[in-house]
This record gives sequence, structure tokens and C-alpha cells, in this order.
Amino acid sequence: MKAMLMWDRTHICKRWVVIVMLAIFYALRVTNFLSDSVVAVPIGMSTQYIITNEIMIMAYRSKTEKYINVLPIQRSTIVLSKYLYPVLIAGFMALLLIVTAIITRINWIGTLIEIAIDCGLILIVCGFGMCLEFSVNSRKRTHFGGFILFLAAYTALVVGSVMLTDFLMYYASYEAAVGISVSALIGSMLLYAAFAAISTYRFQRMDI
Amino acid sequence: MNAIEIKNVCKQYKHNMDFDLKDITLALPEGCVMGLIGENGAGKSTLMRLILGMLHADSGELSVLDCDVKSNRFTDIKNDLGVVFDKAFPDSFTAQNVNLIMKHAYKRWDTALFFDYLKKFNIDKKKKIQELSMGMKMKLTIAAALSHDARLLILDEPTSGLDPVARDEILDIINDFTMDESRSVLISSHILSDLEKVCDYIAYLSHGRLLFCEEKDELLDKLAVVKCGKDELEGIERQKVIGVRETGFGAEALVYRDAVPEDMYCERAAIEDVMIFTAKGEKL
Repeated sequence: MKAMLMWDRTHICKRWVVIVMLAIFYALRVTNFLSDSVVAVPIGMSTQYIITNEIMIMAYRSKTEKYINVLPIQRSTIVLSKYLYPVLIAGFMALLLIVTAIITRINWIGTLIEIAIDCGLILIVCGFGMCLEFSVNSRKRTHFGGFILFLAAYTALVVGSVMLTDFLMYYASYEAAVGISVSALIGSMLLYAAFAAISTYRFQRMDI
Repeated sequence: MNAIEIKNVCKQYKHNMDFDLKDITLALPEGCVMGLIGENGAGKSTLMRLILGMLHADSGELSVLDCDVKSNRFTDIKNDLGVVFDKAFPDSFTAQNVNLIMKHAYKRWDTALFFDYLKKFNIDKKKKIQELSMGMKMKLTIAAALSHDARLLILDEPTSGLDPVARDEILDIINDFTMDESRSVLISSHILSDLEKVCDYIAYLSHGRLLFCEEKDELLDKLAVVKCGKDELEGIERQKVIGVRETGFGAEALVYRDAVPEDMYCERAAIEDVMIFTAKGEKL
């Protein structure tokens, strides 16, 4: 596992821009510079899309960088090491939200809802993207249908999560908001685990 | 013990029905070097990927160092394999990155030995791979393959695109590696003169079929190239003529040495002759 994480880390270090973008986005958002959802949603969407794309590329490399598969590393480890990164990103996002909530002493329920929905979203989107990558043969990388499917699912998820967040923040009762957001997070985690299991199963049987 | 044992292995790609590897049976005895030859698209790389468990065979049995490649234990056996591909590491890596990753991947990784090889090959450990020449990149991959006490080296065209000096250095490394008789090598190359220098066995693949797998010296001793008029070839038993090519001066043929009449001039065959006459030569 450590070898795999180091292999990916060497790649990711060159992509630090993505992490910086995410940090700047959240810093602007929580300090109310980006409170208007007309501005925040497109920026948030593109940031998350870039992150997802990076994660998908990481999964794609497992097939194209054939040398990985020559090392004494189980194929399941290769898959699961990739699935660790969205969890780290989700954790990072949650941490940023908590820190900002402490600094600005704002609405704790709102922060909880944000954490649950944002983290759930990043897990589902990244999980779906990776599952797609690990499930198709490397030669079908440019498969247009798969790409359209990913974009459609991604857009639907983002729009859905924005609507759910708005509903929970402004219309739902305190108990309902907490209950629904926690359930949404647990549901996303379960879905994420299912994506990881499908990816492992498919990748183990794949020709590299 | 055989380092590699392949029995009746077949493989067809779902996306490319034109190519199939059919009924391949061969064995590489421990302590030996086997050269895998064949034209482009003959199935050499496919066979190597099957041996490494990267591809799954449709049928047949494949074992490496006494371990079935389909078994879970094969991941452990990979600690005993040194593999050289033309593009092993991403361009953004440095030799230092390679050391850090390999240290955690291989149980018997020897950092000091790896850096010794880098020094010997004049590779700057801080330089990105994209800044290294083709020969240097290949040497780096070879250094990585030799730094974890491998028992079997699998090299896919390690000398292609290299100048004669670099090629000679790589052949020397292979020769040094096989000084220990428990170590074996499977090497594919289009540069047949290189294989002739280092190999004990030659396996010839053509269009996914194994045409032969024999001991090199035995093979070359029993074959000969005759240069004569085409009508003179009539004096040789038909079954003993492997292939004939017409030249401006008459004809050349690859034949079994024992069938050549005493008064006919013949030369010792080289692996290149065997490949060319088998693939392109006409039958009598």
C-alpha cells in the first residue's frame, strides 16, 4: 500500500494547484466572499470537476502505467490506494469547514449540513468516476458514451446536492435537517464502498 | 526446475479478433537465457504479459518459478522477478523517487546496490526521467530490476534504440546476472545478433504460433545456409530445405546441414537467417 501511495504522491505533488484551488475556494466561501450561490456554485462545480478528473486520471494510470502491475502489489491494493484519496479530500474539506465555523462562530447546523452534503458529493462523484475507469478496458478510454454518462451523473448530483442543501438550511426543521444530512453522508459512504468493491472485482479480472 | 513453464496456452483479445496466441508450449530451464524472437505483432509482448499475470490466458497452464500465475501466491513471487519494459517509470519521476517507491514495494530491495548501479551507469539520481537519454532510461530500469535479488529477469526489447556501446553494456549486465546458476533470463529483441551473444535457447513466435523453441547451439549447428544456383538445390532432399530465397546470383537456402552434399559450399546459419528464411523464404 505504501509503495502505491508513494507512486501516486509523486504524481500528485506536481498537481498541487488542485489542492490550492480547493483551499482558496473554501476560504472565500466560508468568509462570505462567495456567499452568493450564483457565483459559488459554478466555481465549486468546476473545482470539484477538476478534482474528480485528477482522481479519474489516477485510476486510469493503473492501466496505462503498466509497470505498476509488475510490482509485487495485489491488484486490490492498487485499487484501494486510489480510493483513499477522495476520503482524504473529503476529510480536508470537512476540516476547512470546521475551522472556519470556529473562527466565524457561525451557524453550526449549517456547517454540519455543508460537511455532510459536500463530503458525500465528493465521495459519490469520485467513486463513480473511478469505478468507471477501473471497469472499462484501457483501450476504451476515449469511449464517448462513458464520458457523457459521467458528465450527466456529475451535473445531476451537483444540482441535487445544492437543492438539498438549500432545502435543509432554509425549509427543514432542525431535527429533519440533521437527520437527512447525516443519512445522506452515510448513504454516500455506503455507495462509495460499493464503487470500491465493483472496481476491485473488475480490475482483478482485467487484462492490462 | 524450470523458471518458466508454459503448457498449451491460448489467448485472444476481445477487441482484436485477428490476433490470437495459440497453443504455446515452452519451458525455460533455471539458469538459462532464452531469447524470444518474432516479427512485430507476433505475440512476444503478449506472451511476456501473460507470464507476468498482466493478461489472463483463455486456456492452458502458466507457471513462473514453480508458481501458477493465477494463484494468489504469485504476487509474492513477483519479489523474485526483475522486469524491464521500454517505458517503466513516469517521466516526472527521478531515480530517488524510484528508490523510495521500490523500497516499499520489494521485500529484498537493496538501496545501496541500487545507488551503486546508478553510479556505475552514470545516472544522476536527481534528474527527472524525461531528461535522461533513451539508453539511460533503460539502464535505470535495469538497475531497478537488479536491485532486489531477482531470480528471473524478463526483458522486453531492452536494447532497442540504443547505440552499440550501450547495447554491449546491457548484454554484459545480463551475462553477469547469469553467472549465478539459479538465475534465469527471458529476453525479447529484434536485434538478433544481441540475442546470439547471450542466449542459450531461442523461441520463435510468428503470427501467434510458436514455430520452435530450441537450444541455440544445437539449432545453429544442425542448420546451414547454402548459396548456389537454384537447380543445384534439387540435389537436396525437399523436406530438409526450410526456405529458399532467390538472389541476383542464384539462390540462398536454409537447409539441414546433414542434407548438404559434400561438394556444396555452406555457411553456418545465424539466428537472423533462421528467422528470415522461415518467415520469408519460399518452399522448394
